[in-house]
Amino acid sequence: MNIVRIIYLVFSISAISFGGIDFSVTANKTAVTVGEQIIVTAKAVCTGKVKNISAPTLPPSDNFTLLNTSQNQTQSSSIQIINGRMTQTNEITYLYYYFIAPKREGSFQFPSLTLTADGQTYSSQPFTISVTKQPVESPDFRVTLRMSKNRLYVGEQAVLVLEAAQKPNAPVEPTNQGFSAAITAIDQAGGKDFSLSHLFSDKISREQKNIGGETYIVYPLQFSLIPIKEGTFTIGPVAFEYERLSRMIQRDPFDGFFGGFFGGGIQREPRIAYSNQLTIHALPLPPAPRGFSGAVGSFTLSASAEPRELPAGEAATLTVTLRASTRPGNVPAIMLPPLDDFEVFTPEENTAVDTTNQGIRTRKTFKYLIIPKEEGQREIPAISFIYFDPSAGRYSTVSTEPIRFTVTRGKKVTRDQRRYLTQEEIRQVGSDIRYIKTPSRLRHQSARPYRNPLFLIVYIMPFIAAVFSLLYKLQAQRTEADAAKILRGRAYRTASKQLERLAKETPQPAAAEAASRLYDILEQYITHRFGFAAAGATLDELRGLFAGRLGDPALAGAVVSMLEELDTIRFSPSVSGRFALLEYIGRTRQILSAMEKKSKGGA
Amino acid sequence: MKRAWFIIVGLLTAPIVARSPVSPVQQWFETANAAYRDQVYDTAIVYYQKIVATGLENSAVYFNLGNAYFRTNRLGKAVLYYEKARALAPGDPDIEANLLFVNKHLADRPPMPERSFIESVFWRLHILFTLNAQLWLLWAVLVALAILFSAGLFVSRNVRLWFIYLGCLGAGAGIFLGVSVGIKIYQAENVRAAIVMERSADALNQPNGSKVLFTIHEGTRVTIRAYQGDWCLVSLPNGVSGWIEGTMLGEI
Repeated sequence: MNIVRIIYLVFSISAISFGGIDFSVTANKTAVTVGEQIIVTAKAVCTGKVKNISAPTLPPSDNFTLLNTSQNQTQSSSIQIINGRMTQTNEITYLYYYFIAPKREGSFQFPSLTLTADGQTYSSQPFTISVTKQPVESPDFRVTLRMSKNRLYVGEQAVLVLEAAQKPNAPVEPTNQGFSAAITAIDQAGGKDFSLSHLFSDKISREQKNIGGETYIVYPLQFSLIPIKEGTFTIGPVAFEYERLSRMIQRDPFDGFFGGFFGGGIQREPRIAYSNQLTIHALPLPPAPRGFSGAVGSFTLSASAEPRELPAGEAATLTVTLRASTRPGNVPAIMLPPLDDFEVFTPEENTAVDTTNQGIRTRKTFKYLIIPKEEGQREIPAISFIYFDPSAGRYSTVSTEPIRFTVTRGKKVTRDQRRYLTQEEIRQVGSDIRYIKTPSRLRHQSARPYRNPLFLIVYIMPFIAAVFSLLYKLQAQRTEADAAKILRGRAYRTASKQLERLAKETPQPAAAEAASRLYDILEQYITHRFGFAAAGATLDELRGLFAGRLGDPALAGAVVSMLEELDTIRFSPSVSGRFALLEYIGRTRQILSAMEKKSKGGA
Repeated sequence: MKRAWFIIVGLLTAPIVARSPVSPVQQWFETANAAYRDQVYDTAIVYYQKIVATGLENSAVYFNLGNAYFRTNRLGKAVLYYEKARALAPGDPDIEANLLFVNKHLADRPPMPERSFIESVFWRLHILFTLNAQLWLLWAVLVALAILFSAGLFVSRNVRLWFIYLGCLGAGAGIFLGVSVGIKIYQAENVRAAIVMERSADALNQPNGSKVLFTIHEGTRVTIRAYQGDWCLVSLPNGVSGWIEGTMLGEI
């Protein structure tokens, strides 16, 4: 019975199931060394719909450091058909990863994690992690920390080297994570005691080296180290992660081929190697002489000038180069001695940096524009630079040779008169921010003026104006079309009334006048009925138009003949004598009637 | 009737009367400028900040404030106010020059955008005017197009053809201005940028996280992508992102 209880308890620790959610917490390993990384995985498998799920929070602990967290989510769906009955299951798996590293040796409890989903709380059981001392150094992989010198002066540069070494055919391999973690650890070791700068940071070199009589493949990481203050400091031990490779056991004959061919048969086991601890003694500098500007290292100074023979008032370039075995930030500017015979402008400074196995080397070049004031033999005295030489343990001075100039007579240059440079010679020797602005009145400049309702109103106006114009134009067109329609409807009635009035007129009008009026009646009817100006058209044009509109060439011909006839009577007095008004009125009426019928029929 | 006129005139002139003699903003500005001239930069900052606190946004005030902060070696604040000034007066050569100068003093050098000739031309045109000026210019183009359209409805065919040519030119200008205005409005509404105010700021993997993803220094410009409580998810031009406490940033 007891055994059953124990089994039940074990299962209840590893997986707690509440309705639709299975919540479990596991670790990739529970026996580790100090600083070794453990990946703890909290897994929540939801079979039903979950609206709100919050990630478990890892409570802070003195036993381990939380290095990183991440999370992942997967969804799976399965359909089962049993006895013709289909069942679909949807599962969502939430995975929360915690990367932790134990701080000290011993055993500690990984605390219970709590997951909240849709208001319900699920808790895991705590489990024990045992942490042992740092492992015994592996003969296959070793990490060494060394310095070019352990006793150095404040401000002196030394090279710190972290060497990860592996035996050539040993089943071990350094990891990228191991390199980056070691670089970070060394960078952070500096603090306020010394300054560190990673050399050759863009590559990790690999070389063969004999260590203790055995050949190793060495991966050196080099750093430039400069003590900031005096005292004794330690660096390390630095943890370095590497992998031990082992071949997986073959379960079936295919594993041997495919595993070997595709490289899938190698198992990688993460391991940690620790370096030794280094002690650095930073010595104070002895009392500094006058003119010392803080330079520590070895320095060389050289100077040259071009041209050496020139007229007074013309410019020459003095180039002073300072080479130093330290970083550029630790190389101060040089000071020229007083040069009364020359006008000296602020120098143009160039810095070049070389990274070597002995640390950082700096070359600073100062180019001065100098103008001799008077003719004669002029000289730039020796330029000196005081620095502290750590190898000698004392202050030294480095100097240049004096530089002599032969200055000939210049153009109208006197001692008090300045020679101005040509525009090509003018160089910007200083730079600064531009001066403040002083507008006479401050205006509010909105960063979001478009939020002003005024903009909305004025922006609508052009569109409204365009729409109104369009509406006005359409309305005008419609009015015009309506007037034409009314005239078209009344065209026949109007023409008939005019014909009746003409027939009833007493005394009857003269032939020419009557023909003219009949012509006008016809023309007006055509204009109103067919919507084109008959008055301006020629008889041929009218014939063509009628043929098209009426679809009856005979009627079109009759209309045009009638118009032609009336036109002839109007302007030919010889014809007017034979003019019978009523007959013409009758013919005109017939033509009008025929056109009306034709046009209505056509419509 | 007379009384109504008085009320109308009073209402129209009230803002002018209220702003000019009573508001001490101009006086503070003069005082701050005088303090700056006398190299009493802290006093200048106090007065410029008083102006900013009134809600008045002016590129000259921001520019001068940036200068004062630069003189007191507060590079983060200097960059912040130069950026604020640039937002109001893009293309101002003095602001550009000072930003360029201050950027040389920053630990993290900002990337210099590489543009082709055509891109440079469009960029220059894009930043030629302030958003306010550009909005009025676009409105003027729209008015001109509306006039051309309206007149084109009532003129003869030949004249209408000329109107169409002019309209095409106006439409081209209007499209360019509209796109440029659209980009500026989109940026003003959606792009949140900030400057690092502290000497250095660690970007973490999550709010209150333990893993440092990268470290940036005072004056570096970042884009804010999200907020969570007091924390901001920021990203750099190269795409790297991390969470930084909002108190370490000054939003532009």
